[in-house]
Amino acid sequence: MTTRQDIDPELQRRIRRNALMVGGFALLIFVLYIVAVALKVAG
Amino acid sequence: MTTITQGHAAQDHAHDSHGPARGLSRWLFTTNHKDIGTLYLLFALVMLFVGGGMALVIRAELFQPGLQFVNPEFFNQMTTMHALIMVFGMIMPAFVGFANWMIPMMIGAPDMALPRLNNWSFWILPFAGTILLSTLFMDGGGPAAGWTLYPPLVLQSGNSLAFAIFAVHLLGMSSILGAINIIVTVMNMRAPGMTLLKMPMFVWTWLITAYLLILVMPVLAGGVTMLLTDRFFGTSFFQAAGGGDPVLFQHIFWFFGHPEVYIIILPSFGIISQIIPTFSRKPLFGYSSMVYATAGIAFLSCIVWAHHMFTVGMPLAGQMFFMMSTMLIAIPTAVKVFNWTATMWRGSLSFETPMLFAIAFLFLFSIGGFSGVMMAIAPVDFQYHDTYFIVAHFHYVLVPGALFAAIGGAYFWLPKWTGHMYDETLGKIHFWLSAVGVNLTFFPQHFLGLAGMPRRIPDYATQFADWNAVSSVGAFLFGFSQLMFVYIVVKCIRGGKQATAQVWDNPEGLEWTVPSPAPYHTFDEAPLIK
Repeated sequence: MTTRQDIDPELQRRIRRNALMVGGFALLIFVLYIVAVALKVAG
Repeated sequence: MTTITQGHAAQDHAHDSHGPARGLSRWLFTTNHKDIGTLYLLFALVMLFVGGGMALVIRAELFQPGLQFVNPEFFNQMTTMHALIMVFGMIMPAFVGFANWMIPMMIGAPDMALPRLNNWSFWILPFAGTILLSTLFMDGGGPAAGWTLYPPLVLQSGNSLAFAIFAVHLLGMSSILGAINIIVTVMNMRAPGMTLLKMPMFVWTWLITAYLLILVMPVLAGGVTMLLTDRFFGTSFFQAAGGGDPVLFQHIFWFFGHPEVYIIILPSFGIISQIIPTFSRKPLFGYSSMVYATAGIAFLSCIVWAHHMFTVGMPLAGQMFFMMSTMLIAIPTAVKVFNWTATMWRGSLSFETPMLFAIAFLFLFSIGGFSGVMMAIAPVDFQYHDTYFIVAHFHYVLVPGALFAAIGGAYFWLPKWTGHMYDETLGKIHFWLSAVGVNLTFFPQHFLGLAGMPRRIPDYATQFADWNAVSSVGAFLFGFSQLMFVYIVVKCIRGGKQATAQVWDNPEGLEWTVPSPAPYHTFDEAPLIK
């Protein structure tokens, strides 16, 4: 059980990992789209 | 859905030694989800009037044929900025505000999972909004190519385009950070026993919306980044003269743009799914089918984008695919409308202001949905494309749809937020003025569109004069009646009849188990859900 006063370190790690995964996915889409358009236009 | 608490400790304030900070620093540095929710909602309210003011400039100009008040260049800036402000500055932040206030309380969490990120997500917004609005005062004025920012027209903009694109980047970044926070909160911070299929519909709709945001916002960011380099750094992603493809931008924009419609409407569905059962005094009919319908709508929203561009000259197979996939969306949407209606069926109905807005949503959003199905028919869309019929359609979805849901949600949860009941009589007057105003404004635009009036023009043939006059009168009625909403909210914040913890007659959900106003910190210890 999590309280504000006693934050579970495992939960904190999980939150950080989840946030990085979701944010990383967003960044990946951003880059992939630009690369895909560049390749399409160049081709 | 079952959310019964067992000896919850929500009212245990023993650890609430630190309340909110005092003065400005409370709002600048807050990491409290309720404070941040309030900031989002206030920002959205301010932007409602900024964007609404632009709408009234447009409607004043269109009150009669000929040029009255503004020149055509400024008119185009108004249509563009009105849309950008309303979509990115008003309705999206409003729903993020609701999410901030309600999601932690609904799932039994003490706060959002990433509170400092939450603060940053909000404080990006005022700067982005200011940058966007400042373009109106730059040389050549603000962006004027429509909110879709289509090249090659948008590439003829002045230097203010760089600022507008930067603002869109910031607004998108704020949305992505907010979405990350919501996903991580819902996946990690639910109280014990709060399984996914016990979550309130509002939380479900926001979880799915957050995934949509993560999927499509970077696409918009990529698209506008390429516009920026085309305009200022000599690239030719979308410039035909350099070998680029302008239609490619339309594909990219609408791959973002169509899911964006559902990013706005899914949280509205969530709010309506909270309001209707409460005032029907029945559980939501078909809860799990509502969840699957929401997921189905989200999936389909990603494979229909080219129905916005039937007229670019795509192959017949493409037209068929996008026509059929668009029509498919009517099925999960109809599941939702059916379930809301079935929830009301033989319920013990009462018609407080939130319920009035919810019922109006049901009827008027359905009108927008039906005209959407009409436009999905590719050969017919050739007639409607870029006419006022389109303007009528999407405004029915966004105003009596999304905005009514937001206003209904505000009335629904105001007593929980402020601890006071709002003035019910004034609320009902506000509803009727809004309902009449919105229909007067947008219904005649169907007729104008079918008669062939193009959108985004400051002047028009005299045959369109009558319905334009009616539409403008309705717009002013609707716009000024929203001042009443501000009055009601301020009055409610300042005082009024004390609200009970439950507020309404036996509502379902954890948020109604905490006192009204909700304490600054809720759920110091996680509640147990049976």
